[in-house]
Amino acid sequence: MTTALHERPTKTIPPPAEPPRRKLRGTVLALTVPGLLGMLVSFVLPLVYLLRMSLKTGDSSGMIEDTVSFHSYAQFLTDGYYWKMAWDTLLLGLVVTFFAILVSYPIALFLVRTESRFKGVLIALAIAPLLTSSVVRTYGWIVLLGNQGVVNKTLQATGLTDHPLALVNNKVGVYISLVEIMMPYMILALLAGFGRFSTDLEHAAASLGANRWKVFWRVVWPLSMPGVLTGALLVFVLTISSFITPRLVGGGRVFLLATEIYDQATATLNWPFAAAISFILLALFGFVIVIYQRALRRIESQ
Amino acid sequence: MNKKLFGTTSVLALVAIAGCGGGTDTQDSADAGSIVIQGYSGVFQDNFQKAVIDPFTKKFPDIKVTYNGMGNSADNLASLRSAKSAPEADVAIMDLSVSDTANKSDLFQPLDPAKVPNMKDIDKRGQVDGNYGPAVTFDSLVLIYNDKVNPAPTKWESLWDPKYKGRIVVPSHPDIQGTGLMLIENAKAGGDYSNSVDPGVKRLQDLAPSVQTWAPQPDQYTLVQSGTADLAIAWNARAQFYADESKGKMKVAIPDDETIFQINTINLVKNSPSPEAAQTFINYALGPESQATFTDTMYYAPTNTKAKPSNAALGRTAADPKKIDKVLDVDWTVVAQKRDDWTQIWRRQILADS
Repeated sequence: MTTALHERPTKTIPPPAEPPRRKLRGTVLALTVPGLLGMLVSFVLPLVYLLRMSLKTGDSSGMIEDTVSFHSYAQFLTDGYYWKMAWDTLLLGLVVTFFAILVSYPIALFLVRTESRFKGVLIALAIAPLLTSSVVRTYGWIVLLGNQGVVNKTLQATGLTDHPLALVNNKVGVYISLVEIMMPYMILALLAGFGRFSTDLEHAAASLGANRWKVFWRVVWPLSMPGVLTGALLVFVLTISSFITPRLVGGGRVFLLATEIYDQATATLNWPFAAAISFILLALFGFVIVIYQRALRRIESQ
Repeated sequence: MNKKLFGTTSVLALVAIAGCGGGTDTQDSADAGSIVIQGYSGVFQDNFQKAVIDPFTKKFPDIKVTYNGMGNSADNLASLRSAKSAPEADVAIMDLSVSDTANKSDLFQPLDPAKVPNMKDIDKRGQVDGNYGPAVTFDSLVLIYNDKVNPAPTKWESLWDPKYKGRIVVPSHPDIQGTGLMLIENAKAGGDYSNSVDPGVKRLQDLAPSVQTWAPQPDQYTLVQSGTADLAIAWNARAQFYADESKGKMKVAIPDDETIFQINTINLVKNSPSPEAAQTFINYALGPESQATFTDTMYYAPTNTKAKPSNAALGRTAADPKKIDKVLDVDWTVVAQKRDDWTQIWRRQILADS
């Protein structure tokens, strides 16, 4: 992911005055060794182990056979049920990202523009939810959205419904709680993105006769695009890999790739299948990052 | 260059030495040593410590016992699997359907009947072929309900009562509580689970719209106690224990009709660091004395036929002589083999869009 973010056109950087000397290059290489070793042990090796596991064969009682076969991949790819699961996961990622932008954008814009002396405190407050674990916040949503929760009680008290709506233990609950859980990430990314442009451009647009809507649509929104895209990528990836919230709020009815990996690994004990789904999810990530890069390039070239 | 090579090899050697150290310094014999037990955490751990481990260490003061709490049997298996080459645990307590997999994956080793004489007194339901770890607790599937449910349920049928629509909790298969309910309904409808579970699945499809959650958080005992749900299926031992703690807010019904046993086995880990002391402990845990104490403390039915728990405690288990005939015979080896197939059936036919 990080490499993707940095692979931007480098034409603005002037070429180095002289080619780096051999010795310097050697030092640089030596300096990266600890980092590379760390990556090897903590990232590459586990991934290789996982890949090897995905090529073994697991049976339904949890036994693992030492083979090299694509059985687990075939099991996933030949079953429409899993294709639907992958689609549901993708859809969840897209919808949650959309709503996270929708609700976070005004907050972030306000936080950047406000001249209140409590600006720092307000920003800290917007990001404060990150200080508590998402498990705690998910439990909060279970209580709020439950039959006796504040949402249902309010709806019933105002006479909008006469019986509690099923807002938890299903997909609706998963969507609502994930949007809220992803908001702080989105706000952070947007704040970083907004830092790039000044209000002078808006004043200029207004002085040339654009109304407020046009100023937003033609100036503010395009200029905030890098922030929006970074936030969208972050939230999308976090959403399709999240499994705690869908598990806790889903009531055992919501099946996604991430929860499936967890179930296969810990309940059905089919480790090879769990490993194979992990790689399929990884492929899905890769696909999204490619699209993201294309979008980014197009926007930056405008 | 040579200097570099020397440096590298000496670092590797140091790492190797450090890796080998620790753990092997205490000697192991039948009445001295140090053992590690892996089993369920939470109330199981608290009560097992009180009823079995504490009296054991009083009797064998030279054996040091450490209990490692695990979330569930699958977590336990996963931890044993990853430590297979150099196990730290000596004894593992887990569900029979999972320990069966562990036995076949060579993670456990058979017990020596001479060192674990109490094995021969274990109820035939709890015997395991090949002298592998036998049953240490019997538990049974029950109904729990909150104090607003009236009249008190006495049969599984209450779950299908439309009155409780949206107020029912059933932990879904592969949690064996869901599996158990399916097996019970399957048997009542005249089916044989080794061929087909269709009759049981049909019954659960009828139940699905009434179910509030198939994955209770944090568990069904809390949901029923707090009034979020009215009725749930649950394990007897925990249910009885929490019912006492809830001071009447949550109650337990051992249904009059069929039920199933949940069996926990106590196993000796293969290549355990202290197999001698471990077998002394296993023998003690299977003995009539600790079996009776554990029943009195936490209402697990004893597996040792010579155990004499108090009648009051025994009456609150499915091992009550009046109820034991209603316990279905389930071959957990077959269930383990069907686990994956049944998971697919549940997903697609019961849970989807429910």
